[in-house]
Amino acid sequence: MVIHITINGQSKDFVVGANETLMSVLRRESYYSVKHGCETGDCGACGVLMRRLQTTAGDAAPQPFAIINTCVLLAAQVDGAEIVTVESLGDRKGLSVIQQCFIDNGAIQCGFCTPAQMLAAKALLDKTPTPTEDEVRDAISGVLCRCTGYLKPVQAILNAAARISGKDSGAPPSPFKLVVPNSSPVDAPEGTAPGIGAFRQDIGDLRWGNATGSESAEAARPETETQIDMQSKTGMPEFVLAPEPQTVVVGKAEKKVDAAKLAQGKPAFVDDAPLPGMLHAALLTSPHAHARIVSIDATKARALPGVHAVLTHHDVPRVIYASGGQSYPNPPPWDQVSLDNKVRHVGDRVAVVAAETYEIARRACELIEVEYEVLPAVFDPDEAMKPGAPMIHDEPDAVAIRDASRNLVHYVKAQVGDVDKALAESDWTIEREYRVQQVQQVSIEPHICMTWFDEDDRLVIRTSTQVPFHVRRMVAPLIGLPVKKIRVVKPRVGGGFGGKQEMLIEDLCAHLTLATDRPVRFELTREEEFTSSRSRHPQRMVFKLGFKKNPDGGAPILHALSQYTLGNTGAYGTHGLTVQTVSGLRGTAQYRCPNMKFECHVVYTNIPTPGAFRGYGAPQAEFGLECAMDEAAQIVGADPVELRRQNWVRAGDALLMARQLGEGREGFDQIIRSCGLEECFQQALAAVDWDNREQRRIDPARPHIRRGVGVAVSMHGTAIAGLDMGAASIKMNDDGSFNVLVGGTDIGTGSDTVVGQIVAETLGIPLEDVIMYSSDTDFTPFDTGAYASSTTYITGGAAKKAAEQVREQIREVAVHMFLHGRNSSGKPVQVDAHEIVLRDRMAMAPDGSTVGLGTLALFATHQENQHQIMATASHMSYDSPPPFACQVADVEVDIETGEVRVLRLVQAVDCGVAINPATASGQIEGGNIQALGYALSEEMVYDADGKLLNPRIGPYRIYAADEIPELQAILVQTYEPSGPYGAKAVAEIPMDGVAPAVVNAVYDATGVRFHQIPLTPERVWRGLNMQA
Amino acid sequence: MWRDYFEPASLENALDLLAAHAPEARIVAGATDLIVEFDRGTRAPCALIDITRLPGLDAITLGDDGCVHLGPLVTHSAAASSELCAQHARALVQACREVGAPQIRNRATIAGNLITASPANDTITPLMALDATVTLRSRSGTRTLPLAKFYTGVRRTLLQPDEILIDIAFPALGAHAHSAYLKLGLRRAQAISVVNCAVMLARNDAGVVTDARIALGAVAPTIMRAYDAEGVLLGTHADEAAITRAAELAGAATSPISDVRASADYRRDMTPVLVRRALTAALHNEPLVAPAPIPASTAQHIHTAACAVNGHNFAVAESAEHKTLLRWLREDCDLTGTKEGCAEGECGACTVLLDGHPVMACLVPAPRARGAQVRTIESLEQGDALHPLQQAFVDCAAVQCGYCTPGLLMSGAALFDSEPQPSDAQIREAISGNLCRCTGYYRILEAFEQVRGARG
Repeated sequence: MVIHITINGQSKDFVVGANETLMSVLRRESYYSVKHGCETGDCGACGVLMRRLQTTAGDAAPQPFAIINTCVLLAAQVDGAEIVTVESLGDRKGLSVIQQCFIDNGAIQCGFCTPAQMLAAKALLDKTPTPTEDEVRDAISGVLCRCTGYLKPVQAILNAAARISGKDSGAPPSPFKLVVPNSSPVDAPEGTAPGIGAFRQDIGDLRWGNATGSESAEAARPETETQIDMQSKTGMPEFVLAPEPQTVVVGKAEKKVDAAKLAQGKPAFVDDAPLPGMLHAALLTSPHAHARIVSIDATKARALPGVHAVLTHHDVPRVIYASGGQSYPNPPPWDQVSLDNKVRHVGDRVAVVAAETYEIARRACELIEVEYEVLPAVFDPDEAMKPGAPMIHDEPDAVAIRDASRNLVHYVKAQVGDVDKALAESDWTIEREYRVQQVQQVSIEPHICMTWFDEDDRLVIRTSTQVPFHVRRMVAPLIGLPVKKIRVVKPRVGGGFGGKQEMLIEDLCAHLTLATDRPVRFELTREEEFTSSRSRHPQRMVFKLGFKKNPDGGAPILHALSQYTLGNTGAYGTHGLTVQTVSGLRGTAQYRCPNMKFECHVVYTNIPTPGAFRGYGAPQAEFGLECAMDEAAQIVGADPVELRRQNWVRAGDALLMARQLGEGREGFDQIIRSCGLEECFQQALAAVDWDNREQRRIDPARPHIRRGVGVAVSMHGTAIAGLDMGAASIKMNDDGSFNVLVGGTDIGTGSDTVVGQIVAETLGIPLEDVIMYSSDTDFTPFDTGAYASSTTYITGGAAKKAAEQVREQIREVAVHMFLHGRNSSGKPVQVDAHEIVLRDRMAMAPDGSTVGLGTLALFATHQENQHQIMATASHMSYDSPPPFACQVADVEVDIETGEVRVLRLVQAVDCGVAINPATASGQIEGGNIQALGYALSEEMVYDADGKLLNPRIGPYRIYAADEIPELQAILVQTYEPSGPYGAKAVAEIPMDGVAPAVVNAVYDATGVRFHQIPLTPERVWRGLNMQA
Repeated sequence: MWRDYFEPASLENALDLLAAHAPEARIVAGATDLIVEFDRGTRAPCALIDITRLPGLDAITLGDDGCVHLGPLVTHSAAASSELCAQHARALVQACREVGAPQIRNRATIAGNLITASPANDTITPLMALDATVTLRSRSGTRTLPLAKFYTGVRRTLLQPDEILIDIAFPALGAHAHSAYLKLGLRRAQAISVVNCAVMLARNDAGVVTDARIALGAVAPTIMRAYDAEGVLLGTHADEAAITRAAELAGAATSPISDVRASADYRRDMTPVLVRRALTAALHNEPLVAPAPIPASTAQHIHTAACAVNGHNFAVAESAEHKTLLRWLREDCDLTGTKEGCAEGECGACTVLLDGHPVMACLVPAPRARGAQVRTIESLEQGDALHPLQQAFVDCAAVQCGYCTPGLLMSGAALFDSEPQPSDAQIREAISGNLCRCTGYYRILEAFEQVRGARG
């Protein structure tokens, strides 16, 4: 049945069941102040104010409100009544006097009975403005409180009466006294001694994929085959033994801590927990590539029933920002505002709507009347820099655009030695131009967030992000709230791949919540993912290489390396500087060369904005460099592997360009401390039978098929040196388990598991005793976020430090317990803290007697010198130790149709010690397949007006399960002295080498070089025809 | 989305409804194209008449007339796994397996595909090469047309607004006649054709070609026959010279366009390559690889407002009338394990079992679930134990971000329900409609192999 009531001044109809209580209905309808304490009308927590509406004309004065218990009232009985709940007493912008007095007088402890107490007080004060204490006590007698003993609530109500009647200045009595605890702060964590070593001597070779089949979990055990790289000629560092030659949890293929819940489909993602009263947002985007909004009229949209807010550039403050989720201060330029009076690409933001349903919100978008002045657009970055090109950022308030009149965002130049002179001195030179396309991240979960005000009037943003702490800092100025009023929660994230290293939609969602005071859900459609989120920068590159003859008779020596990059950053500059400088660093890092130059223009055009995408500039640069090296090998008459081997970097080498090419600021000098490249090559080439590749080139049974193998060196970084920071808090529970709180953002990579393993290893416990919680700006310490292949190294480093501090605290307690015989032997044992080993959930003394961690935790928490065993530590690094890889592709080319079929991808990766070989190789596999799409099929294609022709997964095409080649991931284990338990990164390097390896393989098969990807059948067909 | 959603009780009832609402009504079965068109705004809202629960319309039969008959509810999956089709219409089987993802093939009907009439369509080409006819019925009568005459332009047919396609028929190929279908796409199954080609070659005992048909897709406004090319094959032994000549003539007959998928030049040049390869394949009658079996449908032809989701009845309320099954499951049943990835049947994150078949819930109208049985990820656990495939996903580290995992598990559960020992190819095909951006699929395949091994 339907009841009609007036609640908090609003007239509403509710559909109710015949047996439903009013309490049930009110809670269901989001009046959460109405509390369930009992079902019998005894406690009063469910109280609301109610009065019957007048039914007879003769009644002059309205009947007064009375407090009633809703748990014993059938909703059907209150048809036609008027109800007041606490929700109406005050709002975010101001509290009622009663509410303020309850706060000021300390009347709220647990707060559960408070709403009903305040309503009882209101009923009293409305009727009796200056009540006596007895009248107050009588008025609230029906509302039980177990915390306060009623003293402070009564004081609060009397205080409120005084303020309302003007008898009191309003200053509350001050019952509080500030007490400063006299405890000393926790000692600062010990700094990690800088390692001087390079390799551990028990480097293992873990093989995955076909070699182990389904017994992968068993194969996680490192083999102990000795493998030492002796290639270096430039001051090989000392060898050191690994400090922990044996690990118990680290290095094991532990099951991902979140795997079971995800396999059960439990509600774990942003959209799995709709909020009561939630509104749905929809985005109006630009149909034009470049236009000024002459006028925008939302009158009709706002008039549509169910619409709660329509925001255009007239309705939100103009605050300049850069959307990239990067450290403070965000790299320039700052060229965006939440909603602008100009649009710069098809899909750019125009307006946003919040409505009762998504359908209504969409309809409202269509009703917004926009008059555009369409401007000439430019899509080619070379054209964009020419005089007379349309000026995309002509607004006066954009900050730090190098030359907006030429659409030039940045110009970067870095050099060591003298490249021009070196090229002139070279015995061979080669110059080639390469082009790479724009591709999209295509995480299966789109960008989605929900925003709402919590019970403390703080804005909560639950969002699918890689950078919760950046989001909190960056969204604050846009919406005019201080950071302390914002909480960002990251639940499970359905893939990011860089696309969620942005503060992309949270600002608009928050604006809608500010406008409506309602929870708002905002999710991009798949089409908007393509047109209105982020992608990978397309680039045009020119590589010039100079080689000198090798006096020792080996392969020629790289003498000059010049890289020019023209980066297309689309409509906005977010990530434009840093992606392109990473291109420069990655293009000039993996070979020894005394003369190197990087020059780069970053240019605006009217395409949807590129941003961060796994690899971050490296896939572009390493495509150009590794294709050029292959072509150079042909020119200098060297074997392509030998030419690389002669020139690639070794442990002990410095990265000459690292200081000049920092991320948005000056970088830090880098020395390579661990490098397994030689072993990577040996393993990967053996896996594809490299030496016999010629014999497989032609298959007599299939005359239109040619087969070839290609190779590429890959090198990446691990976190951003001197910039990325992560922190971890570890707290021991009284059963000997540990809560680990990290800001590090698991977006599916398994970082929660890896960090948990590092903690478990350090504390001598199984992973199951670690309770991971990641990324909630209220509860976890800071972390820059999940990007730049940083989480294992940075967050893991912090977790290791915190665990070491916790270990020391545990040892101290253990010393005391051993001394007093509270151990397994029952006899007093004198032991020094440093002699105690944590293992198998025990603290163990040298004599073999033990104390269980559970016993120890109970002792520390409850029995003597009670304290919380707990530590927090941060980690950052001036090192960014490079992981290395050899990428091989084995391909078939159909020379009639141009189809390229990749038969096999092999990547051998040196990621230091793989903390979890299963998640590490999972990164390699997934990354290689994304990279294969980059090489062969993925491309954002536009029409002449800048409209994306394939803004859907169907025509865009990412790989499906029945299309993938055979793949082998090989983990070549080195020990990185600067990393936790010897770890380096593995997340991005699988993205870097596939495209050049495939292109080089197509050359090996057909003798035709390609300088542009993706290698679509038609592109290959044209290339083959041109040669013919 | 759609306006009204009708579920007629009989074909006559459907014809009446169609006549009453024409031209503002559409017959739907799978509705896989229509929902996407509604969503993209390329189709104005209209009434939908869902005929999927009419009995007897999903048969594949060999008639007394020597023709194979496909009812209007025959899905691509049903044709792809039909013995009758494999025997008499191999090109159709090959084409059906190239359409969409398994979840789409389980829902989409061949009749619907014929009516959508895309020039890059996969199944029109083989049916054209098989000389198929279509039978159309309205309240005023029944007519039968050759498929070759059915198309009048890009996405235009002779179907009248009040007509229902009730039968597709083609002569069953005898022992000496063979057909073949080939497609060139950017990549495999879900990709739309750059060029496609179906051929039929009949030869007498002496090996002389007595009949030849060549149909080409995506190279003209409609699917076309290459009559000149067919002619040069007649009377030959289909030797290399004759095949090359036919291939050249077929190429010359095309009038392709350039679009996002390929240029006209490329299409024109690829046509002879495909025709030559298809003719060679028909000549050698290359065998088919067995597809993954289709689980038996649990569909019931009953009309009720409730849907049994994971064994519990949920009413598909009027307020859900315009929702997709995906939204209904998530919003009305609070079953949020099923994920939305693309809302257009491309990613498979929303895979659920509808009457036992994996389908994309984003492309199923919620009212279609009335009277049906739906299984979602939440039903996989057995008591406290995970489903073996769930356990294998955990054990093999097949879960990374986990967003595609429920869909993959549902496709996998259906596969193991019908085939405890699937081949590698069957596994890959079964999950080919489930995109994963994290894993590269290797761990997922390993998990499937683990389950297969444990059951072996």
